[in-house]
Amino acid sequence: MANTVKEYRDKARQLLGELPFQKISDSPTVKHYTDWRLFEPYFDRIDLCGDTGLEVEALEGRVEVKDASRFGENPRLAELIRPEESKITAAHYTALKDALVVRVSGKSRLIIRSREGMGSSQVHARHLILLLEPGSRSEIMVEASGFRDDALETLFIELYAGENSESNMLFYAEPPLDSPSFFLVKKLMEKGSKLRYGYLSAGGFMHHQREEAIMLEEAELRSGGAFVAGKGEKVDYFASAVHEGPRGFSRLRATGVALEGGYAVARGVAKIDKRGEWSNTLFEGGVVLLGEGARGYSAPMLEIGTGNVEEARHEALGSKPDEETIFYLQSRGLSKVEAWRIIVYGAIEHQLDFLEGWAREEAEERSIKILNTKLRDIKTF
Amino acid sequence: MTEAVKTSKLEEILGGWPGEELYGVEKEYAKEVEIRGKIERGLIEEISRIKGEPEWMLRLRLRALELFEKYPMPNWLVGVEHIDLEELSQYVKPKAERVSSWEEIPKEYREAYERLGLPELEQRFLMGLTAVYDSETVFHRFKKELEKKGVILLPMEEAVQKYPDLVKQYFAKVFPPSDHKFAALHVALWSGGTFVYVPPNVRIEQPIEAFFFIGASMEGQFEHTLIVADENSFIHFIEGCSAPLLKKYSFHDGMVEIFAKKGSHVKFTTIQNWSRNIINFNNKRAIAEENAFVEWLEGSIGSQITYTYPSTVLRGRGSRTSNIVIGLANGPYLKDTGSKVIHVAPETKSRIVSKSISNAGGINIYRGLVKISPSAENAFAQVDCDSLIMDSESQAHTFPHIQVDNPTATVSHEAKTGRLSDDQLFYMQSRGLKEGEAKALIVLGMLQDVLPDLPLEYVSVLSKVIQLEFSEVGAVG
Repeated sequence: MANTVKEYRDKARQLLGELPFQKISDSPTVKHYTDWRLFEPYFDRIDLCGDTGLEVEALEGRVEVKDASRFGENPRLAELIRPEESKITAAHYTALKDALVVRVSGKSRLIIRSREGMGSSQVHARHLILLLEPGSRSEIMVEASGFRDDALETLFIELYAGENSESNMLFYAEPPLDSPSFFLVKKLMEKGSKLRYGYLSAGGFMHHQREEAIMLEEAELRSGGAFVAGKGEKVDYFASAVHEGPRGFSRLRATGVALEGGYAVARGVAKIDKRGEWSNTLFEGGVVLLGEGARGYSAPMLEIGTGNVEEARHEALGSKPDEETIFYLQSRGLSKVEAWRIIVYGAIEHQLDFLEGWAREEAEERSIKILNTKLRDIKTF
Repeated sequence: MTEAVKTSKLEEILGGWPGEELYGVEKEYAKEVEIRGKIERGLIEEISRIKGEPEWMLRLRLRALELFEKYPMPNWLVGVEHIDLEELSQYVKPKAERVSSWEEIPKEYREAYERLGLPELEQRFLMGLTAVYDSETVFHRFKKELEKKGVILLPMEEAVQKYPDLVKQYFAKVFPPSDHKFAALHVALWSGGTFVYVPPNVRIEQPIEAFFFIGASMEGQFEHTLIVADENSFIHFIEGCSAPLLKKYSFHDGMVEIFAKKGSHVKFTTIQNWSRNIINFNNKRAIAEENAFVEWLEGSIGSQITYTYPSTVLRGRGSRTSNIVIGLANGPYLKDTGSKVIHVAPETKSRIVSKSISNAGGINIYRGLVKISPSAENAFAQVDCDSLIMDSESQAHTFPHIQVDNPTATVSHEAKTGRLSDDQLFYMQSRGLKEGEAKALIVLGMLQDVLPDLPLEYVSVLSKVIQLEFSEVGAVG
């Protein structure tokens, strides 16, 4: 029988003092890319949140929404994200009032939004369990914005893509600008499921975005992440696909743009283990640096546990924008600001161009919103 | 067997070279001194006393010992858990004086070098050679003409005695013992190795080689190589390593430090062919000053486990580095290799190429770091990793890190992991090649674009070793 939210909460509270933020074991010189010290002060007082902090608007089709504690059957809470994974997951479960379960069947379209009402806890924990029923066809938008800036925000999504389900999904985030945030999305891609998934974010004080996918037999994932770290903002983005079933297919992309004093990290792991024979995986990561003091890191990793692979590769770029392109655009009458705006838009757009229909339209609209906000105050121009 | 196969050159090589010939077999030999036990102050002082070292070197060793005791075991290392350092002999002096002619070396030691063809190579091809057996140098010779030009080429211990000020200025400065536990262990226990100083504007047109041999099980070898290339000089240094098939394991924890001054060019080539009982840890780092060029070519063929990450700090404007790393894990062995480049100065350039081949359960890991510091305006870095997995049991992993702290930099990284193509193998077999021969050819083909960086004589040696690795008698455990 599945544990209740309260049981996970109690377990997490016990673990909180024992767990590290992150296990470091991949290099003698590289420590971590998220500044965990900025998270520490929020662990002094972790109370229970006042609400799930999430709401759902069903625009089309069959969408069932319930709190996990009232779901009736097993809500699959903590099957993908365990409290004992790290200090931050333990903190999340410690503060969690309840998770929201959204079950999507047939052909559906829906928006999931964050909302206020989390109470006085220093950790605001939101937890979404997204059940895409076998054979369903869905378009989903998750909009995480309007945060209060005085709490550590955590948003976890456990996404179960049922057999032969197909989904187009956009996760748009405006993380808080005065407090740290940690968003974690774990996807279980069951046999023959297909997911086109885009993540788009507008910086953050110190934002850690983690996207992980477990790929079962013949599952297909196209995932892209694009984010802009404005002046003094820090974003650490990590995406992974682990092929545990044969003949899977994954394409992971990530592009971070760091503006004047911004800090952008685009990391990823493409992994095929012995069970994932004849899978095909690619990670493309890059950072674009604009203006003085901009910093960008990337770590594209490949872990291939069998010679029976169709294709496995990664690419990474970290660079200034191409001077010739800027010159060309300026020679056509554009100011330098406008030229750079086009380049940044192009970088973001490229990451999400595999999205289809409604999700694509929403991504385009929000990309422009990010550009208008983030490029407005750049002094370099 | 077809006529074509009978007469192939590869068959001739294999026919005349049974598997154990590659490494030989461990034999008894006389040792003058052997020190083992707890790694503590008394042991360090004893090694220093035997070597008759100056006080500053003993102090350096003891400081490194403190760091070794203080540091935890690095958690990124896989496979070193079973090493019991105190079970090893930390210092072994063979019963052979250092000489400068092959005939003077006692037969029991000379055989090891003769089997590897070292005397012939030295005569035909090298400007100088230092041969280290266990912890001490047993052979050292270099051409008189270099001496006349002011080149200093000495066993490390002798350099410490003869040129203390020069050595002190650079020793453990490029790679300080504070870096990690095994760097500290090395500095505390170092013995053997080579010191080279190349004066300004001197070009040593033919390579100098140091060859390291471990003769017995349960030994630690901690040789230290220090190269100082003064302004506008050139040197090509080759490092070779070998050991017979041992009854148990031995541990190697060597260090190479290179200081490339303004306009100099240093090429450092390693052909590591330890037998399959050696756990091989390396600490290799260079500092390149203005317009200097440092080239690393690391060929990791043998050993049970190898950890090696040749690194360059580009400290001077316009300095460059090219780091080529080749890892062959044939059988249940681990090659944990990679490279690091730290761009500190403006207009610096780096290129890292990693080629790995995993076969018969072998695991290759690439770990890399390219760091562009805020002061490195207009830096350029390129990384290419190419892995070939020959069967379903083998693995290849790449863990690169790219850290850009200056927005004027251009950095690119590309990696791909491919499998052995059945079609390719079938085609070659249908033309009369055995599976092993075909695999060896495919591997050599993959290395084609990096092999020209090696001297011709060494390309031939490396080719033979790879061919043997994939032959029916190769891949001996």
